[in-house]
Amino acid sequence: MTQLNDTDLHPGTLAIVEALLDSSLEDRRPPPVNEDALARYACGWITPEERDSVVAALTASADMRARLIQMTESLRSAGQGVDDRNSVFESDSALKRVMVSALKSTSRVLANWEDACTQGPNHPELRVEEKRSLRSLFLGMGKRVEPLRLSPSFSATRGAQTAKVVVEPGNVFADLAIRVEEDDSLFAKAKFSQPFAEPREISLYIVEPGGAWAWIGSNLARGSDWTLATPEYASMLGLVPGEAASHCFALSEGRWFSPRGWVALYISDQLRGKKITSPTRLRLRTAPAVRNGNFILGFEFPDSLREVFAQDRLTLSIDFGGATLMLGEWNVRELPPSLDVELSAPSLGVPDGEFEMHAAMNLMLRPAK
Amino acid sequence: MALSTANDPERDDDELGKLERFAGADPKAAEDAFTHLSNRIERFLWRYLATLVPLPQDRDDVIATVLEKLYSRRCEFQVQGLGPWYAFVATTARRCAWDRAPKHEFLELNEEIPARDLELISSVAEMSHLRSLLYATADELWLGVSRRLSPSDRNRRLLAAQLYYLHGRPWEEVCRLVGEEKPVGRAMIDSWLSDPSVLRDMAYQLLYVDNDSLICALLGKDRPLSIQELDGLTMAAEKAEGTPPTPWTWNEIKIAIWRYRNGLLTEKILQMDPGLTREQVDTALGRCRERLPFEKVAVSIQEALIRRRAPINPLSSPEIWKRLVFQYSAIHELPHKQILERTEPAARVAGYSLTAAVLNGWLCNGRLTEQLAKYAKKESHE
Repeated sequence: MTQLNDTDLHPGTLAIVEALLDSSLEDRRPPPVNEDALARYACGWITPEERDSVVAALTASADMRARLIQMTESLRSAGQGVDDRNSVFESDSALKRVMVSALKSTSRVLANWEDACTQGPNHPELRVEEKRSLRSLFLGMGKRVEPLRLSPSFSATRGAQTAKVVVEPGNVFADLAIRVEEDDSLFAKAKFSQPFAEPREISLYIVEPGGAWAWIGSNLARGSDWTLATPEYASMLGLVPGEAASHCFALSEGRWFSPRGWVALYISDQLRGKKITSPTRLRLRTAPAVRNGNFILGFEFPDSLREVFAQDRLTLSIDFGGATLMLGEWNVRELPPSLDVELSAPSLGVPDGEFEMHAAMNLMLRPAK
Repeated sequence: MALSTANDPERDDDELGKLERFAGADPKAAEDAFTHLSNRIERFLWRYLATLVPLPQDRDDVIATVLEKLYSRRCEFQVQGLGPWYAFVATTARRCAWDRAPKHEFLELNEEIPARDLELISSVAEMSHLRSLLYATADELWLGVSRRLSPSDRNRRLLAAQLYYLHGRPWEEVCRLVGEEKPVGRAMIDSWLSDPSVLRDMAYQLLYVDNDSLICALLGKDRPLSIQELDGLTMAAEKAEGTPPTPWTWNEIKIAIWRYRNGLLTEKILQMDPGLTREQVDTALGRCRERLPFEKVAVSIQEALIRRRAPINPLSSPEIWKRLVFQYSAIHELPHKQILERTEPAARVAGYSLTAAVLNGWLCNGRLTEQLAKYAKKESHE
């Protein structure tokens, strides 16, 4: 550190001058980033401002890079073995640590933030890191509902009308309505197709085009009714006051932070015309992956699909930033209970490994030609 | 040395101009100017608040609050020069630090910097800014890293190279990790990984070890010690208090710190502690030399580059050694022998002959500064 000893100078001047001189050099010790921030970086849940500080810390520390690589390995190895959303957390303890670390900070921040909203100015301020985490979370969610990210076919077939949403477990459906209030709170209301005998915790998620979900909030459902109010989410998600399109949201029993393993299913307008609007998604038996140059997707097809859509066709496409690539088409009646769809990967230009879900997988049901 | 090109708003070399735009009527220009200024303010405040707010996460919070206050009150600020500006930033920071933890009973919130000192602060701010530019110009000249590249873009390239070459990660993973909204494309990552400037930068960042980091490495610390911890260790060594970290004696630690943290010659060390003998000093320095990391680092870089078939070997060209020598000479003001100690073993690994004569030519005959001055002059004219 630069030392100045000129006793003629005011002490305040000396402090400023020393800091100015020292600040002319690049800091060889960038501020440390904690484990939570690193986990968020590994999971891809990070804002530009936080990313810069994490990257700076990573370039300066080989140990931190090694830790990042460990986290990335855990994420990848677990991702390849996912056949059910629960197993993401149960099958791999290392992954669990990474995810829990990232989620812990996020959920703690959310809890603090909710307290801040309800307690007003007396509540301690959120830390900068917490604000960053919160912003990261909402940015991620906001992107998922951004209409421009949806392919034209996706948007056209889904429409903006209230969707029937499957609530797990069992075949409980829900009419979901989302309203954005003037104070930017988001109000969700659902009516279930059959009442729950006991109160059940039902969660609201934002659905990513590729089938991934992000948790927004949870509340108990009593009988056939369920409501959820979340303060200030709407502005962060970029939603304007009024009725919001429910097709970007989903309901599920319980509370899962990041369930994967489903692909949204869109029903064409012609079929919708026949008042057929479900199912809205299909379960993936395995995580989408590219192996030995082939792109592999394992689907489960419920009987109801074959019964209801026996005359129709199922198409699978992948949307890369608006450009839609058709991957295959099947007669629904010929579909077995489960199917590994194998496609030639080089045509997709993707390498071996887990398929990144930034491209949206679209399944669509069309009437038979 | 001509480093100022005030007409180009994109170049980070006109702090006063940015300050005027920041306080001006055009909100878009103010926002752009503040983006540039905030980086400098953050670096200044990081040091300025080090004692007042020692915890890094708290300091981060205070700095964020200061930036917010500065921006929201930009219309009230009248530009009177860099001196008053930094005095204003410092006062705002002290108040924000006090607001966050009003436990500093002796903190003077309304510290009046005398008018005669403001001129000095202005000069120092300008000098400090030019000094930053000088090092950035040295990076551009000898490493090939453009001054126009933002620190975050430079770090992303650097991280990509570190993950790919040093950690042997597959390129797909590198693309994803260094991507922003989306993974970086294959063509882009290939261009980064084969760019000589990126490879030189990566090698330079590993081979340059500042004094504090070097002393931590020599003492075998499993984590870098903070400045305060190192100061404490120095005091403990000088007073021989407590048990020294194994396998050292307090005398050895004292000698190591004086040599590698303070860059003192043997004669000066003997003067500092007349109780020490030359033999003791030589033995202690001999033990330190065995632990210097530079040769090992160079070997690991070279092996990593060969393993991943890097298109060039950045260690075999004189440029990286010039940059290192300039750094150790200009910033740490090390004597030639100590500069050689930190560079020659590593250069030898790559077959580059860095001798005392070469070093003498670069430093005493002023070849490095002359080359840098010529380059800066040429750049400022273009």
